[in-house]
Amino acid sequence: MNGRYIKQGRSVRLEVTRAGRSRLEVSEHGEATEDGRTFVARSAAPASGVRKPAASVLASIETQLLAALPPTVSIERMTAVTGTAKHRFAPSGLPEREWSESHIRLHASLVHRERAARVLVDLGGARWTEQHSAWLARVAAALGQLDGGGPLRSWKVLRLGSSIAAALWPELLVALLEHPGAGSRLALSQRRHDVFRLDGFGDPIAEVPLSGAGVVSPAHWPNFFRPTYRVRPVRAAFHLGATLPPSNERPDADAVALLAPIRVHRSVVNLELLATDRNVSFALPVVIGVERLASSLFAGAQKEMWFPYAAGSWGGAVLLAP
Amino acid sequence: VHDHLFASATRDETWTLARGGITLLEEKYERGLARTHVARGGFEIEASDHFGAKEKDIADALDRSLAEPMDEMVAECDEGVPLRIRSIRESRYLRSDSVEKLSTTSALTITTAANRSVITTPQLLHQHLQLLLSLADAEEEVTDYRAVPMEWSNGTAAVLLHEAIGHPAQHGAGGTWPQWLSAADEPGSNPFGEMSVDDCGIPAQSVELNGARPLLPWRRTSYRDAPLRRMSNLVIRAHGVSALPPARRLIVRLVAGGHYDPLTDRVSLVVSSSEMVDGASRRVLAPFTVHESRSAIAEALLGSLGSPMVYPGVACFDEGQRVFAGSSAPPLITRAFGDS
Repeated sequence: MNGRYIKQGRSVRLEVTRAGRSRLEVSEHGEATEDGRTFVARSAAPASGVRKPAASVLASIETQLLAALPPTVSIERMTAVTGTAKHRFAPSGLPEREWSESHIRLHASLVHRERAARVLVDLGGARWTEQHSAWLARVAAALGQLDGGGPLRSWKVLRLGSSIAAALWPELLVALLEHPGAGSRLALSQRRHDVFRLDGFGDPIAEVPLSGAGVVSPAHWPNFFRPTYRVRPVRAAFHLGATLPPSNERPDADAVALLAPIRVHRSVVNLELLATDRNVSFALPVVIGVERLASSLFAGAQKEMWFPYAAGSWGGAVLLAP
Repeated sequence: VHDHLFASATRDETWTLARGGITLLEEKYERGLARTHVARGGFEIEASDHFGAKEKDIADALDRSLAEPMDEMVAECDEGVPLRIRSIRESRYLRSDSVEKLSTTSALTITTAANRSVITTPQLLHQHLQLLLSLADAEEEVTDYRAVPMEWSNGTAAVLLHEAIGHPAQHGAGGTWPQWLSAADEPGSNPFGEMSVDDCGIPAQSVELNGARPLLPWRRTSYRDAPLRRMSNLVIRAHGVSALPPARRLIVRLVAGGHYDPLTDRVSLVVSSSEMVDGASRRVLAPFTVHESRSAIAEALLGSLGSPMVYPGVACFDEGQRVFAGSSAPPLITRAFGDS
């Protein structure tokens, strides 16, 4: 969509890296224009008129994270950021629209060095909630209890935790778009978010079916993702979610997090899972075809949680029963 | 490291070259400054893209340093084949109690329709463009790269060792490397632009990387980032150990990206163009990924075939920050990794 976009934003960032612990306050005011051919973005001259966000939440998140770590687990890196932004977009020939938003994110890499295991943490939302704290505590504890290996556990039914489900949807969406016949039971859709309601042009993010009956093809997805004024907005599916059939099966183990990013190669999905069974955790690799995976997922009982994967993804517990 | 003022400007343009001519797809310009306070165990940074009246001279100097248009240089890449060219020019200003310095770097990424790419400088543009255009399309898949010796040509060994020696050095990990091999970070001869002081105002010096914990220069992508000790220009030299190329070997021509995992001490490197040579027979191979431990790479190094050459550069990512790093190395021979 041609027009002029202006963003004023302020953020506070707490970073833990191998260089130490740094705190950054960033104020920016940028604008971007598109004329149908060239995308132009530049820093704008005036100072940002947005107020600095309250940064005390970052120290609180860091304290929670440190408190959740068992002695065997350490922080390899961490970025906690809170930001507020005011957006304006003037489409060519149409009235200008203006909107604001605030967000909090935690990106961290937690490692169990003795077991050479890593969990990537990507949490976010409009504010930090009990749900985030509980997820963090559960996953850190599971990583701390990771056993030293041994024979692979056999299982028939696995419960996949919310972050695994949320990470699966973008991968399965791509795979299902490439192979439309696969996994017709799995209904992926663009969902709503109570706070992140508008896209990169200020248009409402509505529910849109993305797989199965009544599917909307990517070329007609109605919303555009613009994570910063510096990049050209692209069509994207926001707040992905899945509708799954119910199941009464009892899981043999709980997979609480991923130990490596999901890999999909030639229609085969590779999951490196951190699983728990009572008070023991173990690494569980799962290699499964896209079609079989998509037709073996069932709804599990758990409140859904939003994750900042791509343009957002909703995950609740799901059962995998291939 | 002392408190300082750092400012940066980046002009980032993407062009396409096709039969219809040159098209500017994207043009981005951002600049800002970072008041950097050295705190216990890290930095406290106040960053803004707003330059006040006192800093107007800095903003003007940054703008002037990147004002030259790039369209003529892009047009020079017209060889009658479709290309995508991304030009990233960066200017950085540093002021501390002892230093005031403005420096500029320039990197060009050229990508073919087959999605092969090189990162180069205006000075080396034609040399690396010809290298890119000389690479043929793949004829067969690699069955097992670990079964054959490899010749790391065109300076690609520098990228292998960027991952196997350079990144571990950033994490303080040493290693046992052949006595004949030296690896040094030499900021003064960085092909992307000379670096006499680093991004915290410290004089940048050459350091050996395969020794005790080296003090690499502080670098940061922009005013919005915290400085990290990073490589600037990796130079690999082989002292007195020549190897003969085996009749059957895999010749690496171009690589696409690599990764070092400090948790597993393993290296991954995507080989985007290579050939399997067996006597007079040559077959171009599809891209594949080398996954090896650092110790396996050290044990496999046999010797060199000649003098160092500058590899098209590396866009190096660490802690989410991209910096361009120079790389040069002689052609090196590694024995079959499966023999280790």
